[in-house]
Amino acid sequence: MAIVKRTPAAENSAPVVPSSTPSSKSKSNVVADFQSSLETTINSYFKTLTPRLKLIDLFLAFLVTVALIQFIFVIVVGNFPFNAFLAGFISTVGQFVLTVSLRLQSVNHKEFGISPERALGDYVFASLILHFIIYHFIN
Amino acid sequence: MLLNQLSSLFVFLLVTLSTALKSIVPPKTALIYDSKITNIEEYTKLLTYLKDELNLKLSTYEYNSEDLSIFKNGELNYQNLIIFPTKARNLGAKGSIKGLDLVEFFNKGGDVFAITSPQGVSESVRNFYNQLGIYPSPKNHELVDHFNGLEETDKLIKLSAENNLVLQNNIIESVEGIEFQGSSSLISNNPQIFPIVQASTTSYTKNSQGDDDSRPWTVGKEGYLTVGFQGLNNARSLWLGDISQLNDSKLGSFGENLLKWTFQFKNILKSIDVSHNHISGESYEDRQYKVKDEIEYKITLQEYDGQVWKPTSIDDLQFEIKLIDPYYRLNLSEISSSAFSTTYGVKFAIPDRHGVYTLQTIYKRPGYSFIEEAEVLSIRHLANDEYPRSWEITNSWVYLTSSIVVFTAWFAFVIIFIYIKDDKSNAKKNK
Repeated sequence: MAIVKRTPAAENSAPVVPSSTPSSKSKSNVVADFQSSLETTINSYFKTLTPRLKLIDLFLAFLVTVALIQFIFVIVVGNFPFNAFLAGFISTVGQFVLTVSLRLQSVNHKEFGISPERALGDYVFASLILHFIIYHFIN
Repeated sequence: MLLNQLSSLFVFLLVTLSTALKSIVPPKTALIYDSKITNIEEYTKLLTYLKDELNLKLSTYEYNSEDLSIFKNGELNYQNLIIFPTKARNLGAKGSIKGLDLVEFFNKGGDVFAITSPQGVSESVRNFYNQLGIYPSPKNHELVDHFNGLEETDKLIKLSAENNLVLQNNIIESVEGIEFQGSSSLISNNPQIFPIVQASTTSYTKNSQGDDDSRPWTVGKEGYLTVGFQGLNNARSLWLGDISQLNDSKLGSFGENLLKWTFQFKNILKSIDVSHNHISGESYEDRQYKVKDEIEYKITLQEYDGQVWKPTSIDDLQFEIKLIDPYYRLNLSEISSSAFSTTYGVKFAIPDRHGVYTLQTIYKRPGYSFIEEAEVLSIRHLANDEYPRSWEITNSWVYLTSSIVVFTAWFAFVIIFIYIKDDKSNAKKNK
């Protein structure tokens, strides 16, 4: 990284270890590097964010939440109707995978060589098959 | 149809008739003795008891009698044998009845009551008992007890309950007042052997004729004075070490109980009916059992007391449902009782595993007839439409709801995704 921004975390670490050994120095550097790269990523994410991508990400977050709720439930209560759990859990996971694919294809549609409309069509078709299977598997 | 009914009626009549005849016709009994040792005149009470009390058709034979044959056309010529001590090696004309013949007699259902004494132990009888795991002391070996002896040689021994009676033998209750003189035997650990009277700790069995250095046959409690044996076919045999217990001066409840037990007048158990069905009353044929079905199992037992069949009073009857090992071993409890039988039953749920099961009741107690009833049944698993649907299980409501929510959200997502198209150019611009 060419530009190392002094972050609050890096400043705080200095007084704690007064005689800064090479290892602690490199450690604070790593933290700083990581923080700056994280900031860069977040910044670039928000810069390229369109409402459509925002919608996709919101949907992904929703799927993760639903999956987590089911997972906690199965751990706490037990896996008795196991097929139902599998179906419910797989519906979220599968939908997540398909939505991520849609996101990749709509962002990089030139690399995939398919139009965004085709990507959406594939997505809808695959999702319908997924849910069809889920409703059979859930019994 | 009619023919079928008639034939089954005929079979039923035949079976009833044969069982009736069996109880009416007295069992044929042969008493084999050796006049060189035994004076049969001294056993008139015994003969009267067998003929009049037990109602046996008794014939007495000298051990080498020409008329004596225990088989006739390959079938038992006698139901019961009483064998007194004999000096001869083998019984029968020209020694035709060997030990293995007695084994065959026993295996075919005949009952054998044999006595050996220091004066006479025939090879036949000794070989027969050795096959069963009972080893009577050889000729000239006599039981001696210097602590409980009644005369100078200490060979006439006073028996007592604490020293000699085998507890819970179910055959005799008391040995009080019995004076024993004779042989003892070693026994194997076969569970079909029922020891009845044991030698006391202070006794031993030793050759009284030979040199004094010979090893004793039994020492202390390893010797047995009266031993019963019951085959898996419920035929009974009894070995007694003292012939004088049956003579006119001594014959009493001890000898009579032994005779009654051996000749199937005592402790006879029989199962007359085994049934099982669904709790609802439907039979296995109506609706095959499947896993977790509620079943009721019933078994009806009778006990014979010498005159009539009567209800039993058993409280330790158990039933097993098993594949290879028992899944359940359940106590059967009395559910009803009639004038001549008792019905035991248990209600249980079939294990949650399909397969070919055996439903069995095994009842083997010392002194009593063995009861073994087993039935092999196939228990099916649930058919594909017999499992509960997921919406009937409350746990799955969570998963159902979430999958519906996912679908609905997905649908909404797709609609919204299409309708915010105009931002696409924006995204391109940013890129």
